[in-house]
Amino acid sequence: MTTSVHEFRLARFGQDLLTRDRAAPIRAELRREMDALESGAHLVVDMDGVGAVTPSFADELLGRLLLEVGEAVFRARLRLRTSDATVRLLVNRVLAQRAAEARAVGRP
Amino acid sequence: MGRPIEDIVRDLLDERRDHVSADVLSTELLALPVRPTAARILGLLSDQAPSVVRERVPALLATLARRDERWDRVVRSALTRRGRCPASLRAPLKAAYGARGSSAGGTPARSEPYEHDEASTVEPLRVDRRLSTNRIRMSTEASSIDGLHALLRALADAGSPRRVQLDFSECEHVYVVGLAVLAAWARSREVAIEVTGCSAATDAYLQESGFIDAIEGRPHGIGTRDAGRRVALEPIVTGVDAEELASRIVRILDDHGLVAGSNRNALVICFAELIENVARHAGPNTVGFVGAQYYPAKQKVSIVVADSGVGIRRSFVDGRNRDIRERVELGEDPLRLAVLPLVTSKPVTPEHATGHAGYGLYLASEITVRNGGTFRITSDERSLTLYRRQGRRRAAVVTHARWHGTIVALILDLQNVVSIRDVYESLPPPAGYAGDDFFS
Repeated sequence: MTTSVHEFRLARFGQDLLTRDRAAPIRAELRREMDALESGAHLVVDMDGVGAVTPSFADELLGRLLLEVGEAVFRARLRLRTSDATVRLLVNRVLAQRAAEARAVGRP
Repeated sequence: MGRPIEDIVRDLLDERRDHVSADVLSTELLALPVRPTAARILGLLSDQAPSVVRERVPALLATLARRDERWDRVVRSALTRRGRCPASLRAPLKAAYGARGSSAGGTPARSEPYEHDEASTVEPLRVDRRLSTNRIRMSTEASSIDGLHALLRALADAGSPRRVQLDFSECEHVYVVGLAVLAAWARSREVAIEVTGCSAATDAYLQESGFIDAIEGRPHGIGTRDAGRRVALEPIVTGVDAEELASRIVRILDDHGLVAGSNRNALVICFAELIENVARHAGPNTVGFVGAQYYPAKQKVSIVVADSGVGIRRSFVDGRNRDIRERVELGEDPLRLAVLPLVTSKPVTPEHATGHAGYGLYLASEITVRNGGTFRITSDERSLTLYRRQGRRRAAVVTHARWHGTIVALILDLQNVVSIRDVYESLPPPAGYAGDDFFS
């Protein structure tokens, strides 16, 4: 059995990804691509090639997506990828915060 | 197994056992389930409570609040208007709670703590208003981040006139901080401003900075007359493109090749988070301006955001973050709360899935202080300045004439490197965080 892999490259949206307003339409696009995945497939979110990513951008793009779909679906359908240790740290902290909030309000 | 709650309560009520300290009793109480234990202890507080209870229980509750966040919530809840503390005991409990130490209830920051300078009230400097002519005499100092209180005094004295003469004849230099504040004040009150006494250089600066257009309510046409060293004053309104505003400031750095790599990203994140924060909190009728200036000789960059919105305190009190609202109502400084990590007036709740996260002002202040710069936030009658001197973090609070809104100004030293990774490491981990990796 083979699993389809689709890629969502953030760098195509610009070098610096700074604000929630910038992130919101990208999240909508990411959600559309995620929802269109066939069963068992996942989407690779590639963060390489971007310059500055703010916590607010990461939170609006990925944190809010996690709140929308729940941590289990988020982890099952998305694979995050970056070679930048700082971006990895940032995204992990943002998502851990939202995952804790989702659990606290009963949306695991 | 510890002693049952009844035994501990008996100690509290026993006049002869005054040697049992609040610390000892709180250690025992912390081992018990919070809710029933809290109900029992709070139940001792009544208008008819014996004097021993009145003396001991507030200290005990304050100690518990200092040692455990859940107890901190219990005590704060008891102290609110609809809380369980009888009116006659509210004052002693509030006093004990207020003196419990700075760690209680706050989100634990991993950054080195600030040493707080004594609060002070400052007098106006060299700005004065001639009542007879509605004239404000500007000075270099009063337009700077350090002299802001003088400008606020002059504006407060001016009240709400229809017309004011701004006299720049004693002004050698003008800083963008003062101009943003003046523009926000004039536009929010619809004050007509007549500029007088300008040298040729000052006149050019007022034009290029967008100040003249700003006070006259005209769009400035950013970038056309910009000398590449400043971002002209740009209005902040609902729906403003924070991305574009932040990018303009970033271009100052990039065009001059001032910083690169991770240090560039740290400064970019600082600007963007600050502007985003203000833009998102600006109410529908808010008038505000953002401006930035690069100083090549000193290798510094200054950014200011001044708005005439509801201000920090009102934002917290009217917000839906109950925890923060209670802390403000109990007397905690809204400005100090605003720069704590993950503090927001609009958190995620079951009813509000799209809350904010509370990164903005914390990150902007943290990056600035780690950079060796100066971060100043002003709202209502207070300003909080955060900086570092001789390796120590300092926080200074100043009271001054009221500003109806919020001003955030910062100065960054472009020669100093900031590790954004260290800043992220300083964010407090969420409950239950165990180094979760969403990349695996």
